[in-house]
Amino acid sequence: MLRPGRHLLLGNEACAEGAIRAGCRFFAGYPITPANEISHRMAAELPRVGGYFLQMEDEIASIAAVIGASWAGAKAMTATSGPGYSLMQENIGYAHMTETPCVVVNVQRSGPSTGQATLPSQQDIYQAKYGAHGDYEVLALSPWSVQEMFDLTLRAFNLAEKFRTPVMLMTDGLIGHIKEKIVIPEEVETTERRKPAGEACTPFGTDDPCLVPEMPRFGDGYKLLVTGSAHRPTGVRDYTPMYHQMKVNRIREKIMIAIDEVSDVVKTELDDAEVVVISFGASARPSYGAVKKARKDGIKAGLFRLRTLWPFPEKLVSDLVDDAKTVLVVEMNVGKLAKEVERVACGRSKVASVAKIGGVLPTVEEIYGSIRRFA
Amino acid sequence: MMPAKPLSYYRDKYIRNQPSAFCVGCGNGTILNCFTRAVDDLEIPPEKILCVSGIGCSAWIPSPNFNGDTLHTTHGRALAFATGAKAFNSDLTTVVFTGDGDGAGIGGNHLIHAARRNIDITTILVNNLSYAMTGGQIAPTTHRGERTVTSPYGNPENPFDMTRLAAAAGATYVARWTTWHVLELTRSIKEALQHPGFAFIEVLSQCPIQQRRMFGMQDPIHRLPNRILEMFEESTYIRKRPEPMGYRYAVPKEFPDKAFEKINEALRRYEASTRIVDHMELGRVVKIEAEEDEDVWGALANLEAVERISGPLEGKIELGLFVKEERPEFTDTLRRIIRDSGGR
Amino acid sequence: MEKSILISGTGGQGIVAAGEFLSEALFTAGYEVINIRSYGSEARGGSCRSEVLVSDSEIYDLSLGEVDILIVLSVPAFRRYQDRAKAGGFVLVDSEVIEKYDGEIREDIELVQVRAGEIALGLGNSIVANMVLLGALAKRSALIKLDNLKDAVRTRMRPSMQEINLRALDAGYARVRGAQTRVEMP
Repeated sequence: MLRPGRHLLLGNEACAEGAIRAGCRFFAGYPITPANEISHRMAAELPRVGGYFLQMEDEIASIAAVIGASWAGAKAMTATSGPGYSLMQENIGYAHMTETPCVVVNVQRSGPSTGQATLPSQQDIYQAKYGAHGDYEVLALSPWSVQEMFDLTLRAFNLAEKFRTPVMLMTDGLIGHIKEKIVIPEEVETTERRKPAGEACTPFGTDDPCLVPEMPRFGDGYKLLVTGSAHRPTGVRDYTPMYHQMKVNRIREKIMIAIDEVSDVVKTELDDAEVVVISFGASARPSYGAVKKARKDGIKAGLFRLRTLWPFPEKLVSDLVDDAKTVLVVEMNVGKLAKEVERVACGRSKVASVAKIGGVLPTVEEIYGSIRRFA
Repeated sequence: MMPAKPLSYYRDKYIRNQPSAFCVGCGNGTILNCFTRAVDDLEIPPEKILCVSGIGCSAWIPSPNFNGDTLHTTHGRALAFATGAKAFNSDLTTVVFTGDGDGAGIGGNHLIHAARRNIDITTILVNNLSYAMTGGQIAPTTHRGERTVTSPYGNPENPFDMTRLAAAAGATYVARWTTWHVLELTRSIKEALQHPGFAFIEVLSQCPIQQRRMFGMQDPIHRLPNRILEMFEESTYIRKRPEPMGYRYAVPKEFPDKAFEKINEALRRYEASTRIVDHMELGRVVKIEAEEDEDVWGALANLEAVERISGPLEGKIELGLFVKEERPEFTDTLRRIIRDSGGR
Repeated sequence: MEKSILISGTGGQGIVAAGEFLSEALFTAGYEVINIRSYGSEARGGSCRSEVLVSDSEIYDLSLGEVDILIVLSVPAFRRYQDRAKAGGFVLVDSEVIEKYDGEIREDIELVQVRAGEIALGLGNSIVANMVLLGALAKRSALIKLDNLKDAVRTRMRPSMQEINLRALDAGYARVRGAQTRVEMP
């Protein structure tokens, strides 16, 4: 572990540092570009804090081992990229159904398929939300700097433990692979999962208004029934419509009732902005540069940057479109987030898109050009 | 010898009060019985046992029946889930129940890698030679030529020998039994639970529902379990145990009953006993027990109704203990790495 | 004020390492630094690059276009990256690359040649050619001081390799000809 203070650090390494400070003591992964440095650092650092690093036979096994370890009591994580993320989806669905806290890092690369293995993208943001079959809500975060690789990994663990759910850290091959300044704080705030106090517990049901049940672990004598099949609050497999409805509604609602608390956006120069740029992750970097440049030229532009992608901060975006003339969504895919913004905007303002694929970041000039056009 | 405990003792202590989800005559109940007896003999508290399973009939042996911690996971992945739990808390006695579809098909990769790591997990692979829960499709264990719903013209593939596969992959305890061999299986599960490493037991199990078509058995369903179990006994031999050799099988040309009559007629002058038996490899055959006497076998050699005479061990499945050795265990090694790097 | 540096060569020439040491040295000197590198299948044998962006204030953009300083260790890299240098930019290159290069060489750049490979071999290991060029950079530009580079080597490199790398930095600093370039500190 790095000592607190200022460091020049690789994004992926900052992710690992954040995880260990969050209390992560179990990592299972499989080699894949451009996520490898997370594994490398976890392999070196975890044993030194009493933690376990496992290189599994594939990504399916990696997420499986993470879920198994989480039920044994570990704060656990895996990290991968596009193809591996696809392989993990079934077990991510299992983690949703069994309400297993864990963190899945996707250092996004350009797809589909092998695509451009060494080049970054933001193409997997729908997969984060819709990747597994069935209905569920997902928490997904998007860091735009090495510092945020640290900060948001820490937050991902805290959210996972608080809401008993898998949390996606949707970063990309660019942020993962740049070295820049990070300040590691002296102390961090961590969230611990709620364990049952008494002898009895209903691990999949609760009267608590937060809708998150207490989570026992294996070996504590609760004789747990954990299953990916539909189940009663006790864990007993049961296919009756009522139990399925209860379960699926609750795991969705526990996220949606907390949307205000979970949503995390950064607003720059928005007060009088006529052109609002919405972006996230790596593509928010040139977006920021373009907004600054526009302001210098007297154009009323602002940046709305999402640090939580999912659940989509609908209310905040809705307020935004009321005031803006044009909303310009900048992203490294074919315009996925733009569709989400369009849905919320409902025609109240113009929604334009700077959507770039090819494994390259949109440039400040490109984004600035679009801002000018819509100003 | 310990006094036998009543069934209710095991049920109350180890089984959740659930209606059984198994089909009538399924081998799973037998395996659950053997497992609870092994656990009881070893006096392992059930709350210290974690049973992990995947998808398929075998997955329901522990979940929701076994009254300890159970993790009922996705298809084929039980060993990978179990690896995470066991690595993080090595105090958990970790047992994986899997099937031939689950463990040899979709989860085959996890099986060989768990064996290679020699992680202290006991794996019981229930082999019913098909994907039974989904309707009896061919599995990686289904014999060549077998007719199933997905091999209506005969299985074009060759089966895996899961026991030899596990041994080759590095499992340090490997045994194979059938649901006929309940005492041996119970003893073997005890050894496996005590073995400090990856222990693999293949259990050949009956599925009266799906194996009926596979073995071409015409009997009413309630007679099938016994018939299949007897076939298991007939089609196997126990390694390193002396096997009586004074018998052979006559493979009939057409109808076994017809061949049976002709054989009895041909052997009238000899001291020999004959009966019709089921054999997994040879089919429905006439078993002839006689002292080694060339005349007996010679009398049958040219019989019109007999296709050929097979030796006693031909096509039989070898049972018993295949591997028992000590090698560094995975979670032990992980803990040593932690100690050596100063992490406690 | 922002400056950009592109270091390029063939995988195995220590391109990524050179970028890291330069970044570390600039970072320790108090600048904001971003280091972007190519990696993966390009890392061994193929062409390879490491880009460094240095500034006295926050850096947001991550896409480098034309660079102020280009450092080149191989012929294919020269062919590929010559055009990435700004007009009037400073291009520091192993002399051997120029001797072997059969194409046009731009006239609007300030080309400085150092016998980096030869010097490195003389020191006992051609792998330190990257450090020879960084030493030369410290001499010819106000971007970075030799001592900052040496500190980075002392803190970041495994002890057994420090000695030869420090000597390579010194050698590059001593043997590069000419006065300091127009490229200034940010």
